[in-house]
Amino acid sequence: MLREYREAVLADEDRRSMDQARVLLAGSFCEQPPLGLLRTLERAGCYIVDDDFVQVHRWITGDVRADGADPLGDLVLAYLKQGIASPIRYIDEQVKGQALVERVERSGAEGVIFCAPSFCDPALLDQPMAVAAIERAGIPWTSFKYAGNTGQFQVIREQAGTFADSIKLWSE
Amino acid sequence: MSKQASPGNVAAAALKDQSQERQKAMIAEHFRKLAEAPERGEKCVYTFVPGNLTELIDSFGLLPVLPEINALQSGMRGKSRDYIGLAEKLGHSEDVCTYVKCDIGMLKSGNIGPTGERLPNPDLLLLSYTGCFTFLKWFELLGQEYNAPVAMLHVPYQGDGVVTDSMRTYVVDQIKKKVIPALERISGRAYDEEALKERLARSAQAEEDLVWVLESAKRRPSPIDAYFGGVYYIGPIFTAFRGTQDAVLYYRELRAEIEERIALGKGPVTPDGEIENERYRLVVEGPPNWTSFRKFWQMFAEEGAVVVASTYTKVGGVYDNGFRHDPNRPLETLADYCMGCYTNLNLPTRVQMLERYVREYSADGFLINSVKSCNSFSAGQLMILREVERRTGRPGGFIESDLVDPRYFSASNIKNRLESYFQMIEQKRAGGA
Repeated sequence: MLREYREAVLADEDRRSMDQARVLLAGSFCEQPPLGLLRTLERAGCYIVDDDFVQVHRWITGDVRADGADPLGDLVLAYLKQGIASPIRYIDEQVKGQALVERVERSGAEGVIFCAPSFCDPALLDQPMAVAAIERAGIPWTSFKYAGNTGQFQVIREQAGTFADSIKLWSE
Repeated sequence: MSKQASPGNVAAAALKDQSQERQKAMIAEHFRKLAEAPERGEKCVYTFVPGNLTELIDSFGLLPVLPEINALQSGMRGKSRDYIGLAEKLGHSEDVCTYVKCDIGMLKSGNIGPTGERLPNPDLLLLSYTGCFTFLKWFELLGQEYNAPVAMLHVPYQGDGVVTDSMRTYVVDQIKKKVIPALERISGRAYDEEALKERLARSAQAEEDLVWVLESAKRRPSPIDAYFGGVYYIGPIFTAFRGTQDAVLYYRELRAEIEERIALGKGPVTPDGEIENERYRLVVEGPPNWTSFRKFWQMFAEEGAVVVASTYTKVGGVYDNGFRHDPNRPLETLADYCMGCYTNLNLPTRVQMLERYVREYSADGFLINSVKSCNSFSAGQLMILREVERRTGRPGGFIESDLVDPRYFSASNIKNRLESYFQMIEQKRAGGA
């Protein structure tokens, strides 16, 4: 389905790239955030080029070993050793925020929007450490929270729009 | 101790028992040791109240520092507002645990502890994770701030309400392979099991007296307040003193004081006098507010409301179910202790505990103080309220405040709710319910 969608997009000559800011959206989203939030960010001038939505489906990076004698052990190892750097995981040996910086570089994002649900302790507690890493790397960022059960995104639109403008107008 | 609890004298000097004075001196001595630790070459371990391994830390000659205790002390001393404000200015969300922000703010303000002396930096962050997720993030934050090593002890949640052998083995293995080597590394000493056993034996002695004190509230009138007074009673055993001779002596003295109160038919001591007319017996769930602690207590005492049992006094260990540290199984008993802390219990177990308290302590009602910034406690509290009401037939009440953020303590709202709640209890009585 994704392939068909990709082909349809490429075939659509009316679609033109807009002068939007490429952003990575980080909110430690366990689930799909409200679509209204995503539309708001896009209308505010952002292309979301990477995100951390639906983390449960992205937890294990890479393949789980399929030819071992201990399949349960292999699953456990994959969970422990190949897990994404999410705020809900305790980060022991790695540098906090480093994985986020690398994702920014890989995706070609021009900035990061931290947008955690207002009730999400792991994301909110993690944020100062992630911000510190992003700042060390000289990457522009902004942050706000949203409440999952409201459709009120006007303030977010203004803030995201200002952020996108600042990237497009003032970034080097 | 002859003054009657009365309103309007918040500013007056608080009345204190002899045991309270002893505890104050113990705390002052501990903070003096901490302040002098760097120049004496002594090492310190930051760790949390639930799941603390104080006997083990002490057996290595290391000094424990408990960030929650520093935060609540900052709250009681009127410092937390500025500390929290500073942390928020540095990017910490207004919605997260205020203990964390208070601690970060204190650190950024020079790390001056409750006695006015500087706290030493941690040589090790011993992250004993017992049901409160915030602990993980807290020590990740401190790990960055101090560039200190972290030893994590992952304690399995009692999801099914039981501790299995494999859970115990899992914790013991971590203590052997992770925690003890980390403590050996920073102390330069080898693990000494005999030293640990001595401390565990003293813990059990103190625990015996603590439980006796807490259970004295089953009497009418109750000689203690098991929430506001209770937080003082748990002080030594929940913090730096479990396993010490000081703690044994403290609990012996406390027990003697309570025995005397019982013999004289006296009610609890509050900072503003004794409660002479016990009108309401309550069970309370949730931590207290620390920024207006005395005012909060006064709201109960003025109405003759005595808390006869509470769950907060179980966060650093549940002993009234029979658990005692067992020196004959030193590491296994530490594992059992960690897994048994209140924060590590599932909701059905918490409901059972509260139901038992309401019945065994002949409570008139059950009250929840829901803490705005503590999701670990607050999650599930409305279910707990309904379920305990249904099982016991006693009226439940619900008030809201915060741990150490004074912006979330609204005295008039809480007082109104409490007054309504006490009226509800009266109506239940009048109706014969």
